[in-house]
Amino acid sequence: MKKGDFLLIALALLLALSPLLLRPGREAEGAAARAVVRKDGAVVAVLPLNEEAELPLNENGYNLLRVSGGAVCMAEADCPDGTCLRRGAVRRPGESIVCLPNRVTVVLEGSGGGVDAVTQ
Amino acid sequence: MRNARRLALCGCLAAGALILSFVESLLPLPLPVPGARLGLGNALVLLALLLLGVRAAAGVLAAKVLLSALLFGTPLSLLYAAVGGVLSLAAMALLRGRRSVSPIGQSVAGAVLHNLGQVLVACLLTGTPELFYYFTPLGLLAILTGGLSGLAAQLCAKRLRPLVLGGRT
Repeated sequence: MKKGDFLLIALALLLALSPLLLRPGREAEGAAARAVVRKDGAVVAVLPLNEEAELPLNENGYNLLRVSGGAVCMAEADCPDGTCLRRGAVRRPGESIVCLPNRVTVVLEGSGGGVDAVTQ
Repeated sequence: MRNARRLALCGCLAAGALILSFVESLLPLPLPVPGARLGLGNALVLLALLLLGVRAAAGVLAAKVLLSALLFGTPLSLLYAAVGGVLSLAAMALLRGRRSVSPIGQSVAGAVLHNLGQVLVACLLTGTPELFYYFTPLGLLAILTGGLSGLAAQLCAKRLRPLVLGGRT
């Protein structure tokens, strides 16, 4: 290890922590209102979290999304890594579930704003 | 004679990188973070860079990325691996030859940029900018795994260098 290594590691730490600055602020804490579901980059469903629901996605891989008790979880998936299943239930604005092999993403939003409110 | 030696070593490193990628695909990390990987194959790309230079390292990288996508990946995993791999090699190559940076620092920079590239590809492919938040856990993991694979490459380079220089083996 040399001096430059520590500098690079410090820079890498800063870079890795930088997304935290973009996270939704404190007012976004609390319960999320809806889940935006995207498949292959297009929004395929917006599920309100106050209703129990199941959403199967069958094209290019199988996923079953379940809304229950104000939270969303991936109940079933045929992806090889199972990362989306391990993610468990999410309930806060800004949280997400991703199934990269099947190109499915689920992002939770708070009550205010439209589809992209969380990203601002 | 020396060229044959270099070519043979290049092939060994590419084969090693491919095997490590395969082993890695058998051992998914039990993390809820998409795309989290040990990045072991990168140690051999770095080793090629240390021993043989940028062009050889690019060759090892290309062989690793193309063959592992062909053998146990998908066209999409090829895109992720290619973008991450090119960024990673660019970072490591730029840091090459700097006296204040050891292979450990090179590897950390490469690993973090690899993950940055992959997160950006994921954001674009899924149309979900929120995926950028995953760069925090992925980047932190990359500092650790990148540091370890950099150390491994450094130790191997020390022992393999006489072979490249053409001394008696």
